[in-house]
Amino acid sequence: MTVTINGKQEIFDKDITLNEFLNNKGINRNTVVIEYNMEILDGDNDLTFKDGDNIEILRIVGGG
Amino acid sequence: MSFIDIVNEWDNFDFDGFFKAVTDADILRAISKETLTKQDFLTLLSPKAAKHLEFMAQKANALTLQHFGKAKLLYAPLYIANYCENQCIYCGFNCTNHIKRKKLTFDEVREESEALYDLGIRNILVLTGESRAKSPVDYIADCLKIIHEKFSSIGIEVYELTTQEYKQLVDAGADSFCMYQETYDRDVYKSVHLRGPKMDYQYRLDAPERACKAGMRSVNIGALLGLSKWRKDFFFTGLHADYLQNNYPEVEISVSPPRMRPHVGSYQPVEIVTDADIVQIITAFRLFMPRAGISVSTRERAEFRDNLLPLGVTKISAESSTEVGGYAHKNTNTPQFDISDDRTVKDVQDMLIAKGYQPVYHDWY
Amino acid sequence: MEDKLIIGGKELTSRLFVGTGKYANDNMIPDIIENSGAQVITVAIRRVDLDAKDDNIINHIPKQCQLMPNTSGARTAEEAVRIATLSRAMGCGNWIKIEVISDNKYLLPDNYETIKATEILANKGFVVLPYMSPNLMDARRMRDAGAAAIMPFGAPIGTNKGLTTKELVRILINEIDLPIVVDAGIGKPSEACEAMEMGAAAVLVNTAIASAGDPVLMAKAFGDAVRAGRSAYLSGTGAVSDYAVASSPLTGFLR
Repeated sequence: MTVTINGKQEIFDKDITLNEFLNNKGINRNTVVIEYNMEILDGDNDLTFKDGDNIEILRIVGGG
Repeated sequence: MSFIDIVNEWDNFDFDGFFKAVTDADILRAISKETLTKQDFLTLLSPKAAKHLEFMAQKANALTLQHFGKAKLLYAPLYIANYCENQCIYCGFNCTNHIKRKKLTFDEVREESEALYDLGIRNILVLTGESRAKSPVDYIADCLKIIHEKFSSIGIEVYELTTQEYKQLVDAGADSFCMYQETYDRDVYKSVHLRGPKMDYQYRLDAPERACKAGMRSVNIGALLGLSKWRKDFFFTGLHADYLQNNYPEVEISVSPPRMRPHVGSYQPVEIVTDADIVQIITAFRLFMPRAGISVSTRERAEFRDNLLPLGVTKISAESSTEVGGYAHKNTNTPQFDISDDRTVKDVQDMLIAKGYQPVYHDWY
Repeated sequence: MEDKLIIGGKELTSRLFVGTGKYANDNMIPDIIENSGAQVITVAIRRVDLDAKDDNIINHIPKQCQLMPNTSGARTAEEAVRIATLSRAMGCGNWIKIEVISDNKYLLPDNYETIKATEILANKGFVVLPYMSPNLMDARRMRDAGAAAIMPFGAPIGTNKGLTTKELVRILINEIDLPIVVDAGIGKPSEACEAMEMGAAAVLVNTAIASAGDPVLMAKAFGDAVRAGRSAYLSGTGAVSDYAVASSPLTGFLR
């Protein structure tokens, strides 16, 4: 299963949910916003990745 | 939003108190500013500013040169009718005055238009007196079409119309609009307009805005100075011009400072507006609105008009007849007002050239 | 004296907005904010780096500050709208600085796309502050589209060249009945002061503070300069006599 995350292709050999993925990467769900196939995910709804999904994980950074 | 909202904002303003509190430093500061506030403009209209007139004149001259160069636009009025339904107690065309009333036929309009064209005039202001019954919009539009055969720059000064009617006149060839509120003081307005549609202060006040909406290229406004306190009246003229310019930036806004003259037997001005007052009015306005036009008619004496040229005036009339049909056949009807500068177009043109100005007969359109 | 700036219904006492980009170390941001006195703080939105531990900028910004996320990275109105929507979902509030840049050589804003984004976002209830190339007609369109303030640049982003667009900004200040915030290009406190003396409602500074030798001290200098400029504007500067009385006076005919 191939999922595009932040523009990069990630290959998973077994089912994985969004929250599991974030935990593995050490990302606190409360500090990011997730766009799942161009739709913003509300609150902390979890879901299982499917082949061909497009995920954007964004956060606030310094800017002017 | 209408200009009436701005008039209302100043309802309880203490003008006398403001004038009393103005200091020389306030006046000098206002003169030196690049962008003047409404208060700065009023400061320059204060009695105390009269002693800084030369300073104001120097800056007004510099601003006029900067924005208009050496060009001065010439125009002439064309009276096609003088029927009037209004009773304005200060006016020679007022409906109770028993003067000879006339409305030009289309042939006469063509004759007048050709006579003016032959004088060298290319920019004309068509006037009717204010009678919707005798000079209906369709009549005016038909006259404009005839005049448009010769002239490309045509202004109208007629009774108050709706936006749609102004559009009709724009389509018939009018590209500029002129209307005087006469006075912005509602009480005085009421006391001098005794009869006719003109009694409706706000409908007249909003007419220039309707003309802007209808697509007029330029809009000229003014108050008949002396009818009420002139400092206040001209202040509101400036605010009105500023309001129109801000809301209709595509329209060229200009003002006129006509003044009442004392006449034997006729209605007397509340205040005599002196030559120095006119200089203060023109220079204060030039500083407040550096890019707006200022028009001075032949009501003013030749020599005085010439002296005003460097101070901000951008448009002057020449060889004007204020009687209906006065170009083709002189002295057969009653003029609306007596003209004080009876020089010919040629005389005015020579004067302008001698003073280093370029007479301009029409703008690019 | 009471001199509050109100944007999007929020009362601000500080007229210096600061950006949080380009710092050597984000740990100094609380000190920057405190010393500058700024209340409006800009931030940006980016993809999380999945392979590095990102610091969270929000932890460095005091809670009472008004966050103003920008849409940097957007090249079209559509992208700006997407970024704005994401920033609101992230809990950044409803302020948005629209920044649409489709020119990577000079980084000049695209006014046409910015006007379109302003209209869409204002209709969605955002407090919209468009960053723009100073141009009167475009500023009017942004105002009509529902902008809460207009943010012309003083000079191209990051150039520290100062108030090179002074005459154009002055026209916006005179003609647009919305707060005018000079954003980008201001390199020195004296330039921020000049913008405020002219009547700008506020200035937004980032690079000039972030790239200073001592950013915290520079933040204080900008805070002081903005206050000084505002006071000068409110007090009304004294008369400058450009017009000496000539030897042949223009009003001589009246005597």
